[in-house]
Amino acid sequence: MIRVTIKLSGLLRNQYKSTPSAKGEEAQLKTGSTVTDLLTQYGIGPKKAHMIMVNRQKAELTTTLRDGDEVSILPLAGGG
Amino acid sequence: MNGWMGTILRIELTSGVISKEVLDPELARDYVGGRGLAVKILLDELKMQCDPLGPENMLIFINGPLTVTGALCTGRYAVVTKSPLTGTVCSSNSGGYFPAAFKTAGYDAIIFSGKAEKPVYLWIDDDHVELRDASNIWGGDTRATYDIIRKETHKEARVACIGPAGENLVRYAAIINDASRAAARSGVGAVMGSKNLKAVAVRGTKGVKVADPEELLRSTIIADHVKKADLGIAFGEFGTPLFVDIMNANNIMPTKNFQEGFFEEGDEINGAEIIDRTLVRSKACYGCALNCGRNTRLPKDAKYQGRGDGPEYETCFSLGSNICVGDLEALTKMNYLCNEMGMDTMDAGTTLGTLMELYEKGLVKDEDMGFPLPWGDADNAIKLLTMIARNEGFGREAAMGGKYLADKYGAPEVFMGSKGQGFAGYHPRAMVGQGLLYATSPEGGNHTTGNTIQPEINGIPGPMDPLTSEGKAEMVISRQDETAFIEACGVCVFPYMLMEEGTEIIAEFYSAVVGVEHTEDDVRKIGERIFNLERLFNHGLGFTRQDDTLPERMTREPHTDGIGEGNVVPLEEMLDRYYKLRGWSGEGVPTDEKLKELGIL
Repeated sequence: MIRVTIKLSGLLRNQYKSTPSAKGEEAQLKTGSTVTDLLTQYGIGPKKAHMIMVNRQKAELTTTLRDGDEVSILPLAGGG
Repeated sequence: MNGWMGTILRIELTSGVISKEVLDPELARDYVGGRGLAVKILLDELKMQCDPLGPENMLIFINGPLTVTGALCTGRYAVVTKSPLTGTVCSSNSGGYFPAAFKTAGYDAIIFSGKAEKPVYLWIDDDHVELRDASNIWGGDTRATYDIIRKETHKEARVACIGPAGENLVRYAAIINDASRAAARSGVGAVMGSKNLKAVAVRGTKGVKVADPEELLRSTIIADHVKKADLGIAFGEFGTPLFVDIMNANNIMPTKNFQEGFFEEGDEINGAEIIDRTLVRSKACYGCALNCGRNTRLPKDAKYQGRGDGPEYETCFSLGSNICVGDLEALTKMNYLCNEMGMDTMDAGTTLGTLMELYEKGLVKDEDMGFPLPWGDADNAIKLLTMIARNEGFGREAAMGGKYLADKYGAPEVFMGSKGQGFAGYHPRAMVGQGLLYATSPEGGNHTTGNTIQPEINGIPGPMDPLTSEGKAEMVISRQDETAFIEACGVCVFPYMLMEEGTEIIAEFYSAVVGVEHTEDDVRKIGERIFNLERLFNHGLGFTRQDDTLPERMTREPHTDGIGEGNVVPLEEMLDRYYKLRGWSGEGVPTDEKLKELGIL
């Protein structure tokens, strides 16, 4: 098993408020799990994850997670 | 006229003469409204070399042909003048309800010139226009001014006014309307203060004619999807502070006076925190589908107290990450203070950022200011903001802005801005197109003459590497031209810049309102004309390539840990291509050929 931190931003945070908080929550996954596996665990469809960051670097749905990783799922950006 | 009210109001403050004139339809066709039409008026009438804070400068309040029509987000107006902060032409715009009142009173623009002998305010009740004594409200904050003027005039009056900062000629003083919205940037409030003009109060009851109401309605229904799209909903839910997370994740949230692009305490000052801790309700401007405004209140047990609007994302950056304040309540208090005093939160923050770095370097000392000012010192930042607005002690120096301070204290390299105006909250080292945009903006470091988030960060319409120069000159030109047109229409840029087909939609709106078919290319061409006209204005004042600069921190100091680590902005390379594509000389001057093509010459 590995433990990762997941942070949801924007509407994802509202839609999945009962799960991870905006400041992050620890999740447990099987060793070798990917970002998709993590999202599936929270019931988040892959299309909702416009931008995926792992340890402050851009990542993909297929990125394999490691113990201690911090995963952020972000929506589209604007300005202002 | 369809779209336009057809009347320009002129207020000569020295003599007190008020006159009305007919809007020239040809000028309206070529320059539309907002910053476009206003810059044309300035170029034709202003003594270019005038002191921005002298009576010769002109101050133009202007809406656009789409203001108060059925198009999307139509409650905007612009204030256009020669800036005391940058010395260039500037356009600062705002939403709320004042813009709609001003248009429905029957005017496309109000042009102020001269200087009143004593403080006055302008009261417009449809056709009735008069200057009134403002001695009793001079010195008052913007909330008190708003309340008193509404009592003196009409309970439905909408008010735009300055606070103590504008009266005291703070170089980044704002004009605050509806007690909380701001035409914030470039020191437009100081120009108003220099004219002894405390406020403009308006009640408007007229309608706006549009050529094809049915077509306008159809376009509105098509555009309505923006409201229902995730980003549109998120705007209403979280407001612009939503973007703290995204800017931080992309390493573009300017931190510690742009030394870094990631703020460790970002989670403390983001949209979710505002909802959890301070939000009373979200707020919309006139005719808006997004509701991005934040009406907030500080908790009763908090160290700082108050109620008001804000913060926006830009303030989360400027008075938050930029000066290392991760305390949402302190940041919100600073925002309230800027609103009440009538001051731009962005240049207030970049000025404080400059000062904190000067302090860190030992170039500004405790004895200069009367107190220490280390990174993150919210208490002394709050103290200094009040001193700036009130013209007290060291506040008099800080009121001149970050560039002035950096020059005076011997470290010009620590001012993070362009043409004297502080940057917005997007670190160009990890989105270099934004760097080109800052450098070439007619009014220096701002984000409202274009914004490169959509292409560089969202990858819309297609993938674009934010770290390289590839495709950036073309992209920046297109963003600048599109934004110039959108702003000239008197609408909010948000929905149009967020929709992939935003330019097509605004062209449809514009065609339906004015009754003349315009394609996307047509409106881009108008935007290009406006942008070139601004360039021509600045060139007349001596601005050339040597002013299209970025601090060495952007072009030489490598970016810090995270996305884009080690990157710098390849400015000169981008500028060469940008000028070429613009049809400007290598020195950045519009050629006669280009000006003829655009119908300017």
